[in-house]
Amino acid sequence: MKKIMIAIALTVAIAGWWRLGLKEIAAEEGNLSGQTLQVLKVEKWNGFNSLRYGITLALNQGVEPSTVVLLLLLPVVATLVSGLHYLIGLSGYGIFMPTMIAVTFLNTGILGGLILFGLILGISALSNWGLKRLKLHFWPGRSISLMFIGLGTFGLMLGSQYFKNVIDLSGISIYSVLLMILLAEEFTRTQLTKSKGEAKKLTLGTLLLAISGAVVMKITWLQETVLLNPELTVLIVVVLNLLIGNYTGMRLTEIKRFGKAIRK
Amino acid sequence: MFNLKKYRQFLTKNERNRIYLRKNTAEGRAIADSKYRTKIRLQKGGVGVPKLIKRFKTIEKLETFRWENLEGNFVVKPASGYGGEGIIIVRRRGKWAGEWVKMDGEMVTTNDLNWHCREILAGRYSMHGMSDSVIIEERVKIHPMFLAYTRSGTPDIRVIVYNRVPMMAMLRIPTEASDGKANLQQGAIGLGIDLGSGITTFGIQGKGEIIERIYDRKRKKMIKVNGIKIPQWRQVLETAVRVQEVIPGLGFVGVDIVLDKEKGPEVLEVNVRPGLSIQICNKAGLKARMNKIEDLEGRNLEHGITLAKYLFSERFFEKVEEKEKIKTIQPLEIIKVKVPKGFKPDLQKSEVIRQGKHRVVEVRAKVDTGAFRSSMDRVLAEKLGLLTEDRILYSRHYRSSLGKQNDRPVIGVTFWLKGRKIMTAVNVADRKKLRTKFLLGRKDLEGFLVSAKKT
Repeated sequence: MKKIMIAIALTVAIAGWWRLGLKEIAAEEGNLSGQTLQVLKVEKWNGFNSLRYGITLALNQGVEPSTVVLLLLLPVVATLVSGLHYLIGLSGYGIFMPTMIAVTFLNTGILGGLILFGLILGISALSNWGLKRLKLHFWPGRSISLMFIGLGTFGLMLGSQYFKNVIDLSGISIYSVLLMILLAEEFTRTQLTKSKGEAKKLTLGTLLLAISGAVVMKITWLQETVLLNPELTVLIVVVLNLLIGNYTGMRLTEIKRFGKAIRK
Repeated sequence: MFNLKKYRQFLTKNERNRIYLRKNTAEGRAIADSKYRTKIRLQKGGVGVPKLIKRFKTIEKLETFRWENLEGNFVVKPASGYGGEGIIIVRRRGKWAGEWVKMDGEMVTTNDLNWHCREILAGRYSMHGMSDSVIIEERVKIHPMFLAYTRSGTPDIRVIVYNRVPMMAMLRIPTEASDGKANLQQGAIGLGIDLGSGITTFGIQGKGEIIERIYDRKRKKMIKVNGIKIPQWRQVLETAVRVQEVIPGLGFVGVDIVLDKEKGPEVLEVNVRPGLSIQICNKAGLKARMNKIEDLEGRNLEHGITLAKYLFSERFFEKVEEKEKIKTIQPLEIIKVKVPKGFKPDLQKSEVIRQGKHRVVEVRAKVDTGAFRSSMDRVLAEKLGLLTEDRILYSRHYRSSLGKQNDRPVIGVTFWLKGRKIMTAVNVADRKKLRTKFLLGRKDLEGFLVSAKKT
């Protein structure tokens, strides 16, 4: 319980310090398309810079630079998540879930994302509890639950208008809602098939991984570097993952776990 | 405070995931992941399993099934479920038709059972929500010895087998917290078991809380977690090794075994990704044990179990040391070596005497703290019937103090030194020209003090 409290306090602190809303991202894009893009242009194709050349072409054809940056950053965040998992021992629901939630946080902001997730989780838990009594088939039950979630999210978007200076959730995209539903479903499922403790641990882990991913994605310097050196980025991602993939030693959390098994 | 070297003995999660892929083939994994296929394979191979009553793959089959033909005493479960979820255990028929009594005395109706089966078929309990099949099997009658430790659920024994050698074992006891499931992750209790004797050693609850006492419901008080003897221990180990013989392509598995009151050990489930907490309740590392037999393989059932018995046995010193002082021994001691059952040793000088229910022969032994393993004369070993094919654990290169190298067999030997029983691996050497035919190495001298005083 204590750990959960600390984690929540930490995330709120981070979120407060770093109030990322949709509007800020838009500003970010403007920032990127400034001098960075000019650096990108001075290039002559020589084989080793094919990717960079391709990116320049795509940008000229009107592809959003932020999309390209996100595409390049996705594997970087995934690498971060897998590193935290295999070296530290922090686990969430697989690797894609935390990575995708990290992207979601870019859309909703960390605090906003957490509120959205809490809402969806609450609604789905409540509706599960109610639907159990009706003894419906499995899928119709899920549909009804989904309907409640939809209504709830709508209500949240409407309600957040009144707290606009604290947090603005009117610009949430449907994909953020869908991903949060997936995470909430995973929580319910783990709770049923494994245990409450395990579900809490994994969900909290997913959120922590996602937050660290979102923080990394937000670094302007990294965004620029990735866009300017796409070939190097790909190379580093591959090398790092090969290293992590071959690691068979202990995870940091296992030191505590196996410490109890050492005979004195 | 924290010594990294001591952690080398443990099998880490990262490494387990590797070994699981390397040692288990795709086919073996597929069989182990399906309870139905496992059951069929094991049944054909003559390994004990709870008897299958019926299996459904579709709702149509479920609708034609006549529950009222059952007598009670059955279990309904999903074929690919995990973590013990979605299992209903029915003890007997209820008072009225269409009513059944569960283990905890609660009632279920045939309608409830049908609805539960539909949920299983829809994939409520399967790993990725895919449609699943329903298994109805006979209920295992819990061995009376286990009834003292649990109120609900069936305790089982998890044995990890590697290369056809048992590596480690634990007794898993369901608790209130685990909701009747013998799954550590859900809060069940795990007690480490000494492979040599089948006696419990240390305890853990959930994934990491060390416990020292558990509640004994028969005596109505807390008892120590160590010292509980598992009945039919040898058969349990045999069953576990047999699983690897019957299902090909499984090199590293955790086998879950229940003890039936009448039928003895039966395999409930085969797990290709066994949990690692078993190392905590045994306070021993799997990695170190696996390294020991890395280049060996259980030649057959006998050999695999002999290897486990003599290589991975506990010494039980911690317990002994508390009660009595460390024993002092002389450089020359008489030890009593156990003679295998049914073997008639042909000896001229010494004769076979009795030590409790065992037959032993007295042998003069010299203490050599400079040697690690004890060593025994080849001729003596042959005469005592210890140098037979299935008693040879393996052969090893040895470097003598003069630098000579030769191949020596290592055998499992049980002997008594100053009344203390020692089960150990001993290498066989040519000591024909030496006066003492047995050399006691420091590995077997733990808890003894050697006195050089003349007597």
